[in-house]
Amino acid sequence: MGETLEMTGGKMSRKYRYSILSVISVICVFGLWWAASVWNTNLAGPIDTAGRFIRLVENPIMGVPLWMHVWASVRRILVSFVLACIVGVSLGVAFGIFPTFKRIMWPVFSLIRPIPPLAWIPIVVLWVGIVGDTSKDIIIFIGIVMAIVINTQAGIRQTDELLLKAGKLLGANKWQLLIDITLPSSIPAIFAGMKTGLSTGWMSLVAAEMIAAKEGIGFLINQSMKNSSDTALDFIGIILVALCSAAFTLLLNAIERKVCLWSKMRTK
Amino acid sequence: MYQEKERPLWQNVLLSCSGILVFLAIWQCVVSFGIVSTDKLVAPYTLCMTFIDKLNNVVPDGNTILVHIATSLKLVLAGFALSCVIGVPLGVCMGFFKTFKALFSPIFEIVKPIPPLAWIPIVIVVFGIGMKSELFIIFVAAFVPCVINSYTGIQSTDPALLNVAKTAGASRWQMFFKVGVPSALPMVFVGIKVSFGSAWATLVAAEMIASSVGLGYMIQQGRQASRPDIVLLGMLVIGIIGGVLTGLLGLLETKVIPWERH
Repeated sequence: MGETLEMTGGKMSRKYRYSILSVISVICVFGLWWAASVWNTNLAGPIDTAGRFIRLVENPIMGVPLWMHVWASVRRILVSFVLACIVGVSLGVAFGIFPTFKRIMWPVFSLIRPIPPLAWIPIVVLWVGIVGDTSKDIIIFIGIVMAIVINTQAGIRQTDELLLKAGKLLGANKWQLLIDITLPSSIPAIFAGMKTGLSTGWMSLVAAEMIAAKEGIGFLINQSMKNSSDTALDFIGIILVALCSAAFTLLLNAIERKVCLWSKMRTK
Repeated sequence: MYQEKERPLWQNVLLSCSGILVFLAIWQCVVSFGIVSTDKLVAPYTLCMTFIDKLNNVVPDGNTILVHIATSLKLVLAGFALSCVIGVPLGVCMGFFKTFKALFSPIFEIVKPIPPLAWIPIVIVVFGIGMKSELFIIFVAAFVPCVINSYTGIQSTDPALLNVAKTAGASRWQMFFKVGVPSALPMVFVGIKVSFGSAWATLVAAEMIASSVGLGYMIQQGRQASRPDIVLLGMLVIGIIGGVLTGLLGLLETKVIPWERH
């Protein structure tokens, strides 16, 4: 008895110690950031960044308010993400259930896949022009779609043979097997692909907007480079991107929990 | 159910080749018959000619293609190696030692969602334009997947194995090196492959934004000079090099962890 009590007591204080360590490490990050800004006066510190944020809200760059930039980026991600999900899942399912189709088309896909989404920027700009949202949407789409295709086809091929056999035995036709067994069982893999794709998508978004855009978070980041290294603006952009992409991941996690209750079990 | 029909090898090879050939043929026809103008797309044949020409020709970007390839490769390998050397041990330790996790995971969680390219304005202020900045950005890009996968890998070590080691009298360090690390290796390799892809993609973008040599710079210049052949050539070379190096990493994986079935 005495021993167990001691152990739980030890665990409690240990847990306490860990959270203190975590708090210390976060403080250290801000401390280091502040120290770096003192050491290199061109670099904005945490306080400068907060001040710059207030000024940015009061005096927007070129009259475009901050929330418009955030909305521009979020809108691009949303459009490309929905498109990429539709195309990616369909293509992934086709690769998964038609092995011959995969045998023929996979080499072409493998040729295109390793080209980073950002390397598409120049050619896409040549094709659809630099003005407007189309070029950025295409780049982000390319960034998101690859991971979804790969994960969807992998998920479908990993369907439990036993379940399929059981379904067949009960008289399900091919279509029913696909809708009722194969697709539901590959949902966790598809969601994993969506999450990977989204993080690539945000990265592509920043790059696409840095190279060619008139609004958006990437545009803000690029402006910070032009206006005599306004690094505070860059930090604001970084924080905004991080917050947005974290929000999207949380949202996807919530949807995943709703759509497939069993996925939590499987990922654990 | 979704297994492929048994076919003789030659049929499989033929099918795989036919996909690529049809793709190239359609591409060639689309350009040759003038469906898409040559300002926007060039035919595969022209692309081959451009490649041969680019071996000696320094127009429009100031270097031959071999110089661009060598520069990009050197940078990506340096940044990638650095991030593996730091990221893998950090991830593995974070997954095994609670103190390590408490100390480093908050920092890591802050850095993780930042797109690597967003660092560019900051590193330019700190390091100036040049090798050091690019190296830092590639490092950051490759670092994150290395840490995440090593961490997940060692966390999913079979507890039964750890208990066996404990019962057999292994010390904490022995459990870490003899059980934890080997069982994390397959995931570590997944991380290494992902981080190479991410390093390569980021390098290209970094070269497009702030550089004066390298494959990314070449395609950016190609766009400014309205030379779709240079742009497409650059993209293809980037894709092929990325694919080949990822394949080599896969080969290394089968050598290092022969017990994992591939």
